[in-house]
Amino acid sequence: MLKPVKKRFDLNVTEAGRSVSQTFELDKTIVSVKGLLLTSDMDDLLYYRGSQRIEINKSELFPENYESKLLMSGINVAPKTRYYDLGGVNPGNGQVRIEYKDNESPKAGFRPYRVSLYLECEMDDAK
Amino acid sequence: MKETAIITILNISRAYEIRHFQVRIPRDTQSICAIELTVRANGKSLGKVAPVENILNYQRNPLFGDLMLFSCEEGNCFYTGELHESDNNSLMFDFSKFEKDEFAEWTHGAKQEAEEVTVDGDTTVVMGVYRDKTGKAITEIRGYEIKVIIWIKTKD
Amino acid sequence: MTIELALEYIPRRMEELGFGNRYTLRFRHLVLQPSDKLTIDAQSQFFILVDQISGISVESQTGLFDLSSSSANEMQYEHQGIINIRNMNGRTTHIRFIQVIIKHEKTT
Repeated sequence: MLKPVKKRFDLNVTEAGRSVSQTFELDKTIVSVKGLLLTSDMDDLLYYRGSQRIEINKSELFPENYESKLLMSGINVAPKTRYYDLGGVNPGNGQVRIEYKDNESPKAGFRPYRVSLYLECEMDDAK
Repeated sequence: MKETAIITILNISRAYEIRHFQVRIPRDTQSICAIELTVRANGKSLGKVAPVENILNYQRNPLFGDLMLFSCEEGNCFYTGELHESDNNSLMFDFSKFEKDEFAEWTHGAKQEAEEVTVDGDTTVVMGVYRDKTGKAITEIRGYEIKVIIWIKTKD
Repeated sequence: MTIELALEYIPRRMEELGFGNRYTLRFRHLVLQPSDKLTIDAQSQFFILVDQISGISVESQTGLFDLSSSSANEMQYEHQGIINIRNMNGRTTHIRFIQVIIKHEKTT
């Protein structure tokens, strides 16, 4: 049976103006990635300073310098529509890579923050 | 098929607190179908305070904490979510509302929807971990109460 | 958690998560120098702590193990995801884990 599950991966940005990249691995039971969402504990910093490149299974979904604010969503949006619709990406080797870049912005001063990548996945429990 | 909610209330009073808890799922449960989260701060409310001129600027939404729920089956961690009291930017670029305090759909926590999940009823117990993050972002409040609402489907 | 308990616990837990016996076990004995910080990438793996020692903080997605911490109401022995280990002792400290590695599906 296919079941929806939400996965979250965290990235810590500790220095201003730097890039941080990390590769995450999805559980082996996951068969499809349906949606994607970015959040942060300092969401104004993510909105004004962030840009990133995201790839799943070595295929690029979002290119470099794609602004983070385009992948954010508020809690005043119905939960179903919060995620950016990927349509169902095959996870393949299960590797999700994010190269996050912090850019200087006069509107939000830097302080260390966390960026969370949420993935809406479909899991097969083999029942 | 009947839907019922199981509400778990947690009182968080210390910064960076990590709270483990368990929720018992009734025996006649067929599946867990949705999760809802709410928060209420003791004392000052942090939402809806942005002045009008900030309608063009993105305001920070203070993060209260993160919640993860684990089931006793293949899904393991089947839900992960963040807890915010309200959205300060819901009226961003909306010049029809000159007062940010004005009541609109989705503001003031008046409207809420559950997040859909699917977990088999034989899970028996759901384990949760809540991590407080107010220590980093919020200093104005002394403790708060969160409600974790688990919607289940039972036989009629 | 003692090693005996961990060995009893792991097969049941893996069965429950649907991995059956498709896993490998490795015993890991980590040595941390004073104020060492270590990050282990244990995504789609499990690290079961089989020691109960003070002055060490083990934190991951599933919880925290730190006998000196007052922030958690439960200590976690089963760790997953990205694990951060810190030695807060002023001396070299040893910590032992049983690593559960989930095997890949057979492709042939």
